[in-house]
Amino acid sequence: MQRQQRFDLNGMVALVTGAGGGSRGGLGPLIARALAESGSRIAINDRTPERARETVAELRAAGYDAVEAFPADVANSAQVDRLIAQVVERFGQLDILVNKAEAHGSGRRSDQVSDDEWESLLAVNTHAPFYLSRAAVRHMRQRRFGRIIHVSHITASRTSALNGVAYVAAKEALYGLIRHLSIEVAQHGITVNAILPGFIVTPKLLHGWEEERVQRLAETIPIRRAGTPEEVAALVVFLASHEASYITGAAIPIDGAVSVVPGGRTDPASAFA
Amino acid sequence: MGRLTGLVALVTGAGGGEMGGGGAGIARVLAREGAIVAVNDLHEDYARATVDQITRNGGQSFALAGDVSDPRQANELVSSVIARCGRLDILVNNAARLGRTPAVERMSDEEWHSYIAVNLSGPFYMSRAAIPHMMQREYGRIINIGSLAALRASLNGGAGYTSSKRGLLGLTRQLAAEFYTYNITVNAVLPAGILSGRLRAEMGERAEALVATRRWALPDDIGQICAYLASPEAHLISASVIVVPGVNATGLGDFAQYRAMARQIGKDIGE
Repeated sequence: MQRQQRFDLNGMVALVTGAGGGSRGGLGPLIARALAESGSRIAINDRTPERARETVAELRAAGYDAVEAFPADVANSAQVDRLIAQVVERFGQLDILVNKAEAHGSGRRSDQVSDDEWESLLAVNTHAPFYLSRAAVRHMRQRRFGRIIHVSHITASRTSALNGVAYVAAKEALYGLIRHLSIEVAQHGITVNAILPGFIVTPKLLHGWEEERVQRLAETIPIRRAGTPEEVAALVVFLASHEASYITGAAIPIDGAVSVVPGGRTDPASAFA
Repeated sequence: MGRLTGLVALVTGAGGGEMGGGGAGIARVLAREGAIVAVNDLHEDYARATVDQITRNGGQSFALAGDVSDPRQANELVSSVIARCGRLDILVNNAARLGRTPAVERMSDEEWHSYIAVNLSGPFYMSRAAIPHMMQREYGRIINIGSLAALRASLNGGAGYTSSKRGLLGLTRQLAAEFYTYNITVNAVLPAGILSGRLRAEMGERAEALVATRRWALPDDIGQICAYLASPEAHLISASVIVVPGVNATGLGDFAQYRAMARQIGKDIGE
């Protein structure tokens, strides 16, 4: 099928955190690729420099030249300030922040969750979004345009057996930040949103699966299949575009209606862990 | 006999007695309903003001100083109640950091962290400490005092406050899901304005009018809600979010009004 015309991000600069690892890296690199396809220049962040460079190399090989690696730990306030400054210095601007970096929980029952787990999930899933949003807003408001998009998860709006209490609390706190920030920055042309993907798998992952396992997964989801990274990336591209200018303070599920299903398991993926 | 006779409660941030806020009201009402109430606050003297008020009225209560945002102190608070009373049935996570902070772009790391630490990590540390004991006894009532800010954005506070109170909803939900089979319920109560004793003394008739028109709650009103949630009868109420009416909690907000109020009180809303 011929690709329809996409939302146009020409002239924009996007920073995607947690986007290392290239084609082995999951959702982050695929979001970066979709933003590049739509015309945006791309800053690839990952905590591990080699992983960031891997994504950059693949995107360049695919013909996207305006792509650079910016390794940094987003849970470190000073590194985040430096990260945003470096992106602005390199590209002259920052229009789109997609925060995909996240930490997963142990899935232990709450009474077994350690101080370390609690603090480290808050650090990456709550504090990092604050540092990133703060640094991005300081820059974006001067240009009167900005798109801040946090990639959360549908279980964050419910409960999570796989990731546990720290994940749910930290991501729900992030949603509070999004809401509060959205009314602070609305007047400056900046929107702040979250997306809540459900069970998303790459074709590559499914390829290694037995047919029965794919089918079992599909049947837990009303749409009868897992979501694809391309479907999630398309939502990010839309939210990043000029056309999405009136959507802010929202957390948008993209989950094949799995969060609407009554009863059953806590996580769509828990049967496959 | 009160509804909570024979039960032991720990209420955090419950000091101040007559001059106190929601926490003091919760402690008073739980004690009036027959519970033995451990009154926690940061400072012993402040906690004792509520204890004195309760014991003067014939209730049973004792003071426990401690900072809930420190996991070690949270553990100690819970274990000292159990050591003293042999049990802990009711935990009310009321201690909270309030106040005004600048807009996100001007907020310091310390300001941000302080709200998350007290208002979100505190309730987690306290709940985690109490739950193994509650599981063993197959009775537990955890009540998290949130704020209407969790459903909107904070009227008086900043992003740190809003985020911490929103996060508390996530904590409430996950805990409720994990432990309902042990007869441990976990709920959130979201007050709008509470007329603390101190404010009442300062504001006089203007405050009384807000109470009379149901825009503000009195501390004991919050206590009444908690007393029901804490009782054996409420065993099937869990993962619930109880919204206390006050400022409009259900309709659309009015940004012009919000902005005017922010200017009046000197709140930075990012302009």
